[in-house]
Amino acid sequence: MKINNLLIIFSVFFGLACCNNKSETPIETFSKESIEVKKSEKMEAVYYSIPSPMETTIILKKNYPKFSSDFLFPDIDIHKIHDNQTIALVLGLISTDLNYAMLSEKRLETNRLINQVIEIAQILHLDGIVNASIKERVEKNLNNKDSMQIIIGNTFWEIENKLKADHKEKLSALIVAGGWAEGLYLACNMSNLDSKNKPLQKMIADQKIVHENLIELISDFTFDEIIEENFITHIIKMKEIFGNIKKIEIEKNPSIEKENFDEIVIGNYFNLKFEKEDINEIYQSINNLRQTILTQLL
Amino acid sequence: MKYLLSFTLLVFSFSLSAQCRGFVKENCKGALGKYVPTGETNNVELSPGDRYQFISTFYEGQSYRIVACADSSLGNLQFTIRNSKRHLYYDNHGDENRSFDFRVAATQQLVVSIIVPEKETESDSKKKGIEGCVSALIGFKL
Repeated sequence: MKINNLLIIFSVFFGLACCNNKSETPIETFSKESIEVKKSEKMEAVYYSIPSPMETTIILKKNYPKFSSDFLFPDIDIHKIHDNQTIALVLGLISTDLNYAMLSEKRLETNRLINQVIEIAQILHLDGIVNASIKERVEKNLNNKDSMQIIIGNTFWEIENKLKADHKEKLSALIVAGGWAEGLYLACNMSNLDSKNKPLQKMIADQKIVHENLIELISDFTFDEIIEENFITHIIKMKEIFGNIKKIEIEKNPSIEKENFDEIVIGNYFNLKFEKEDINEIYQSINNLRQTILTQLL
Repeated sequence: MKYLLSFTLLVFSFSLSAQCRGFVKENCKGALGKYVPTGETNNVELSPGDRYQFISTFYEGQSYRIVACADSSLGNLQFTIRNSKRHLYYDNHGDENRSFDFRVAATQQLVVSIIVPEKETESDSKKKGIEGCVSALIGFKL
């Protein structure tokens, strides 16, 4: 009887915990950053998420249509890596490159990257999601960018979903963080080649806001020492650089308005104030991080 | 016996999370329509009266759809979107509207909250212990 009761209690506890990637956090705790909250609110879980690599690469491609294979993460033998956290990080990096190659309709690169993603998926036991059938669908739709985006978008949605359901939130967080880092690397290197491209610079500056959420997302986990030393510490340190970019509010009152095409526009209007040196610093920092991953983690 | 207990707990928790995952895939994803999922998953198991919040970044110039969905046993969800200073932009007031299409004035974080209604009647109160899957999906327009 006692064991039955225990089973029920523990089952309920684990059942509740199963879908959470963050511990119960008092809502008041994130007022330290930028969120003002009512003090009377009860304890509740707060989750953080950031835009996907696909979304980021779509915006990048709009602002810099040229493709450079030099930007892609080099071809590596994934079987030489023996820890899952590094593998998950690499999956994140490669997923961004895959989106970039696919959006640029580069058949050769897309094929190479999808093969790498399939290999990694096998190691991480995600081959139920990423497998030969996905590859076949990708190959069939290589000339149909919209279908490709849907296939890849859905695939990565399922990967994240599965990892969280399997209580592998750390791996999920590393895929997200790796994807973000590679997106920033691409943006910075594009901007370096096209130094007068203002939309690209704005996109890089916008990462200040994404970075805030990323820090919250990863700060709840303790990763392997090698990942902490060579990746997480670096990501956290970038806070100083992004801190040089200032947010200037244009209107004091947040507004809701309708645009011509009937889409509601919400949120605050503000500009990000930055200098060329700030973008250069981000460029240096993300290049150093990429180099550290290549030399210290792989 | 200790191993049996641990094993049972593990199996139970995995089966609950797998159910939630399947629920989202079958019941919620379709509501995104032509919007492509951003890849962010926000699934939890909640009981009546529970609240769930997530903070996400949205890019200026993109069109988004947020969909909130839950097990029908949980009733109509209240679904709100606020800025970091808690200024309210959207509230479905617990009606059947579970998606919201929008763009943002500038790249920024928004706070999405989902509140499961309390059960009020006597028969409802028996269901208070009921847990169900709740999910919020974000999609963007290609």
